[in-house]
Amino acid sequence: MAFTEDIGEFFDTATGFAVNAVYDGTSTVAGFYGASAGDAFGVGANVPEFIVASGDIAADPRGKSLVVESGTYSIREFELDLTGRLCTLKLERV
Amino acid sequence: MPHVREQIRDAAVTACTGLTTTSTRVYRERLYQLRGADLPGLRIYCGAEQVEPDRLGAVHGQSRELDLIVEGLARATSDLDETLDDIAAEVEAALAADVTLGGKAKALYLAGIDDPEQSDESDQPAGLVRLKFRVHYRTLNTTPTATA
Repeated sequence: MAFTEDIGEFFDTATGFAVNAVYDGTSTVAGFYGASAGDAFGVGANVPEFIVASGDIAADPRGKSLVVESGTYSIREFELDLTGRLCTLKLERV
Repeated sequence: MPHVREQIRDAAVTACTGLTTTSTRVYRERLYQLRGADLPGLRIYCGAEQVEPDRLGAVHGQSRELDLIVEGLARATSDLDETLDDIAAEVEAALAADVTLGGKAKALYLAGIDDPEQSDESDQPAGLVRLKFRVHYRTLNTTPTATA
């Protein structure tokens, strides 16, 4: 019997570290929000990202909005993992 | 009395404070990070310097050519290059208004502008434009804290 992975279990907002976000103004998607430390020309900043199931968003989500953790962002880049099922969204604060 | 280099840098900071885009966000500091709230802003510092003695001797005059670096920094979700160009224009005009920097320099001119840079290592696109001014001034080798 073939193994079928339920990717939704990965994004546990109830007892895990996933959070809900509003994607494109309409749909709620679960994912992992994080912000690494960045440095642009000696100016410190956070570089926010959101990891989401690729099936929950458009094939090309660039330009779509994402509201998460009280911040409103535009999706500027995206990167699929090797399975194609997880997508890391690189966010730009609006 | 500080070195004339420092006096020149301080005079440039004064001349570039209060400009339309960068206002009072003018910094001498290069070691520690600025934050987004510090932008749009300017970072002003002294670069390399060429020194030519007038003659050989224990006491002699020195003709100096100092690179004065003015970096314009901005973050924006649109029109970033335009903002950087605005900053460059304002800085050029401010420093051209008194090319002696209050009598500390014999001459000052814009020697070049590096390619504007952009980075996505931030929650908003960040940009940098670097202007290099050349400042001519003179001192005695025994008194680098005063113009001669």
